[in-house]
Amino acid sequence: MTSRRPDIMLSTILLVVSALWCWGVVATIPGAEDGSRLGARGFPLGLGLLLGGLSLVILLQSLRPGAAETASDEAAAADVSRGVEIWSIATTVGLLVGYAALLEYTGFLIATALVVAAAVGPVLGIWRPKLIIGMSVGLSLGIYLVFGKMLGVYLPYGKFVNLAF
Amino acid sequence: MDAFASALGAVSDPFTLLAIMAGAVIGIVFGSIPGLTYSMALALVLPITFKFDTSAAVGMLLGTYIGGMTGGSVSAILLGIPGTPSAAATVLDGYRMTRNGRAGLALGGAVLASGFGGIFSLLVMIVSVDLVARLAIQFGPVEIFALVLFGLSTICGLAGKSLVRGMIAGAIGLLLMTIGLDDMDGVARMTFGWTPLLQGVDLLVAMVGLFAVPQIMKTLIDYRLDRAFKLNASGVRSELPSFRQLRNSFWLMFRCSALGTGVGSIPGTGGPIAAFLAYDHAKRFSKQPQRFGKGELDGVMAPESANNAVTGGAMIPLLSLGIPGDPATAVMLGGFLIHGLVPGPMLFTHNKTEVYLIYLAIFVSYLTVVVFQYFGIRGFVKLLKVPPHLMAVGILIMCGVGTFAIRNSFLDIYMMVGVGLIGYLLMRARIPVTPIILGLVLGPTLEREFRTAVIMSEGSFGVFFSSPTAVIFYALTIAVIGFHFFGQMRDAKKTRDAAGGDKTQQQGAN
Amino acid sequence: MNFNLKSLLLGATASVFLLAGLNAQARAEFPEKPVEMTVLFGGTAQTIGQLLADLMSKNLAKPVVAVSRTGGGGAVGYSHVQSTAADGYNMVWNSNSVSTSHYRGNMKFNYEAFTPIARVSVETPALAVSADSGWKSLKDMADAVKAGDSKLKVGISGNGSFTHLTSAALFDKMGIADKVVYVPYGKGKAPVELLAKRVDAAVQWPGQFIPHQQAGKLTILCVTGKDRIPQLKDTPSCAEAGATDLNITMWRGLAAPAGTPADVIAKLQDAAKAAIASDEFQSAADKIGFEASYLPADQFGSLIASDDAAISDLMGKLGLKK
Repeated sequence: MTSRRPDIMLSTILLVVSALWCWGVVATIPGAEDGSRLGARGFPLGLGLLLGGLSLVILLQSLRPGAAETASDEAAAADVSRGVEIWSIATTVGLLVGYAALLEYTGFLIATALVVAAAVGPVLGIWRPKLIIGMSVGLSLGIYLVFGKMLGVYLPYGKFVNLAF
Repeated sequence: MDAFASALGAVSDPFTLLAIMAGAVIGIVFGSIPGLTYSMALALVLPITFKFDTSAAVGMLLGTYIGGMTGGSVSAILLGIPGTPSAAATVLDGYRMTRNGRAGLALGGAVLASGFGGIFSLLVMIVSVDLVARLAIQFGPVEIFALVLFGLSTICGLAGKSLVRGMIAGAIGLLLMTIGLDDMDGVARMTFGWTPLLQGVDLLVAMVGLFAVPQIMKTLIDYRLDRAFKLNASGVRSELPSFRQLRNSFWLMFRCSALGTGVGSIPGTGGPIAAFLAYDHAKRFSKQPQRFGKGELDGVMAPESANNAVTGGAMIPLLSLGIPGDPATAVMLGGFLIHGLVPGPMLFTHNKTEVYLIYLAIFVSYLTVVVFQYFGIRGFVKLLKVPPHLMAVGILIMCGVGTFAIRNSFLDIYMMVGVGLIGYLLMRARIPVTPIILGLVLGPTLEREFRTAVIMSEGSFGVFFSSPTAVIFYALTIAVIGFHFFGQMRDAKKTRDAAGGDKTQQQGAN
Repeated sequence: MNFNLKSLLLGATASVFLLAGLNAQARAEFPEKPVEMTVLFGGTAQTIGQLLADLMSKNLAKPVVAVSRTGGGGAVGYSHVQSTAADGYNMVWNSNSVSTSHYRGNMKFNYEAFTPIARVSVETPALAVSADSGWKSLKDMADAVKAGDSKLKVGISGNGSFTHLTSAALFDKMGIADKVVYVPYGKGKAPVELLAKRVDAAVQWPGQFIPHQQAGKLTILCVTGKDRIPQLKDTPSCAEAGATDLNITMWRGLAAPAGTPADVIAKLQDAAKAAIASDEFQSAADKIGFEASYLPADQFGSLIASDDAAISDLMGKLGLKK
C-alpha cells in the first residue's frame, strides 16, 4: 500500500482550498489603510499562498516517480473498514449537530437527556433501560445542578420550550 | 516586617484560607474540563468576591487562576484532551503514559512539576519584580514577533517525519485564526458579510474540536470493531515519581520554570507558547529524544512546570505595571481594582501589606492545588474504569456545554464540530494535529506584532533587524529549522541505504 | 452498577419538581423570569456589567444575569440582542460602539434598533506622554510636533476604535493631524509601549495612566471631555488646554430591542437607577476609574442620537466610514 493516491488527493484539495481562500481574501478584505503596507489583507493572503505552495510540494513529491518508497500509509488505517469509519464520523457529527440544535430550541435539560439517550441506545446499541435513563437523567441533572446552579455557568435556554427550576 | 505580619494574619484568617482553597478547587474543576477554562471560572467567581473583604477576594481570585492553570493537565493526561490551551503540549506524552498504564505517574509528575514551576516563579517575582518588569517592557512588537516566530519553529519537533506536512498544519492553524473581525483595522475578514462569523474562531473552540471530536470518532470505531483499548485500572495507583526521577528532572524543571517565568512576564504571550517551547527544549536536550511522544515523564514535567511558571511571570506586569497579559489576568485586574488594590508602580511602595498578601495567597493556592490533586489522583484515575464508549458520551456532552459556555454562542458548537471533522480528516491524511494548535495559539500575536512593528516604523521592514534580541531569536529559529532539515535528510539517506530493496520495512509512519 | 438506580430515583423526584415549577407560572408582574444582560466586552467593561447586574437584581423580582457575548467589536452581541423578542428579558450593556460598529460596516442596523433604558456611566479618554519627553502641556507637545520633522506616534486601541476617533478629533483641533501616526494596540497594551518609549503619546482610559503618573513615569496632559474628571482634579480638559470646544466622552448604558413596552423599560430603568445610586456602585466607580452617571431613558436616547451623528461625521472625515 502506498501513499501516492491519498497524497495526490490531499494536495489537490488543499490547492483548491488555498485558491478559494486567496480569492476570498482579495475579493472581500480591503487593502492596507493602517499605513503598514500590509493591512488586514496581507497576512491571510500570504498564508493562503503559503498553504498553496506547501500543497504543491506534496503534490510534486507524490507525482515523482518512486515516491512510494519514501512514505507508507498509516498502519492503523488499513484495518478499519471504510463503512465503520464513515458510520462513526457521521454519528459523531450528527450527535453534536443535533445537540447544538436541540440546545438552542429546547434548552439544556431536555436536549442533554435526549442526546445522551440517543447516544447510548440507538447509536451504541446498548438497550438497557436502567443505563439509558440513568445516564441521560444523571448527566443532564448533574451538570445542571453542579455547573448551572452551584457554579453559575450560564446554560442554554430553550427558544421553544425550556425546563428549569 | 509589620506589613508581613499583618498580611500573614489576614491570610491565616479561616475564611480567607477557605476562600483561597475554594477558589483553587473551582479552578481545578474548570481547568480539567475541556471547554471550561480559568478565564470563565474567574468571571464566575468575580461577582462572589464583590461581597468579600480584600484578603478573601484577592485570595479567591488567585486561587482560581492557579487552580485553573494546573487543572488543565488532568484531562490532557487522562483523556488526551487538554483542559486549557496551556496543557496542549502535555497531551503529547501524558496521554501516551495513560495508554501505557502509567496515568498515576503522569498525573503525579504533572502535579509536582506544576507546584515547582509555580513556586519558582513566585520566588522570582518576590526577588526581582522590578528588574523583570523593566526587562519585560523592553520586549516591543519586533522582539515579541521574533519570539513568537521562534515558538513556531517548534513545529519542527512536533511535525514527525515530514516538515512540509507540519508546516501545512501550522499554516491551517494560522489561517483559521484570521477569520472574523480584525482587531487592528476593525474590518471583517472572510465572513462574507455574515455578522455572527465576526466573532471568529475561538482558540478554545478549535482546540476542543481538534482533540475531542477525533477522540470520540476513534472510540466509536473501536467500539464497533470490539477492540476497545482496555486498561487494567486496578493496576493504576497514584504513584509519584521516584526521588531519582525527580533528581534527574530537577534541572530540566528549573530551566523550564525559568523559561515559563520569562515568557509569562512579557505581556501578550502566555502559557501555551511557554509549554511548547519547554517541551521542545526537553526533547532537544534529552539523552533519549526518541522516547518523547511515546510516554516520557519529562515530556509531561517540562510543559507543566513551564505553564505554571507563567502564572508568577504574568503577575509581574500585572502588579508592577497594571498590565494584564491575557483575558484571565484582565478579569483578575478588575477584581483587584474593585477592592481598591490598584496595581502599578506605587503598589510596592504604598501597599506592602497587600503585596505580601498576594505572595502568601499564591503560596497557599499552590499548596492547595498540589495536595488536592495529589490525593485526587486516586479518584481521577477511577475515571479510566468507565468504559470508553460511555465516557465518549460524557465527553460529547461536556464539549457541547463547554464550547457554548465560552461565549454563549451556538455557532461555536457548530464551529467546534467543523474544526473537529477537518482535524480528523487531516489526521487521516497524515497531517499532524499539534502544529495546528501551535498556529492557532501563535497566529494572532504573530500577525498583530508584525503589523504594529511595521506601522511604528512607518512602513519600513528594516525595523525587524534593528533589535539584537530579535536577531538572536531569528538565529535560533533558523538554527532549529536548519538542524531539523539536515537531520531529516541524513535520516532519509540512512533509511534509504539500510532499506535497500526491502521497501516494506518502513511501515508504521504514524 | 448501582449508580444507575440511584440516579433513576434522583431523576424521578427531580422531574416532579420540574413539572411543578413549570405549571406555577401564572401571569404575574414583570419580570417573571431572569433578565439577560448581554455583555459585549471583557476586562473592566465586564466587571462593571457584572456588578451592575448584581445590584439591579436586588430591585427586581427575578435576577439580572450578565451573559457575555463578546467578539466582533460588539457586533456579535448587538446582533444577538437585536434578534431577540422585545419583551424586556433581553438587554444589552451598550456603549458608543453601537455607532462605531455600524459606520465601520460591521453591523447592518444602527442604534435605532434599540430602545434606550438608562445611561449608567461615563468614561473620559486621556492623553498621556512619557515624563521624559519634557512636555508639560498639550501646547508644548503640539508646538514640538509642529517644529520637528518626525511624526508623532500615538498609541490607540484599534483603527476606527473610540480612542482613535478621540485622538483624531483632538489632533485635528491642535492642527497637527497630518503629523501623527496611529499605532493600534489591543487589550490595554498602549501604556507599556509609552513607558518603553516606543510611542510618543497614547490616548487611553485614565485608570491605565494614573498609577504611572503617580510614579512619575508618565504625564497626563489632558482629558477629552469638556470638564475635568474627579480622579484627575489637577489635569485640565483638552478644551482648556487649547483644543477649543473638544468634548468627547464615552458612555455606557442599557438598551433593549426596539419595541419593548414602555412599562417594562420603566421598571428596568428604575432598577438601574437604584443600582447606580448604591454605595457599592459609587465606590466601584471610584476605584475602577469611571464616573457613575445616571440618565433616564428619554435623555439617554437623545444623547445616543446626537453622539451617533457626531461619530458619523468624524468617521466620514477620517475616511473610516464604510
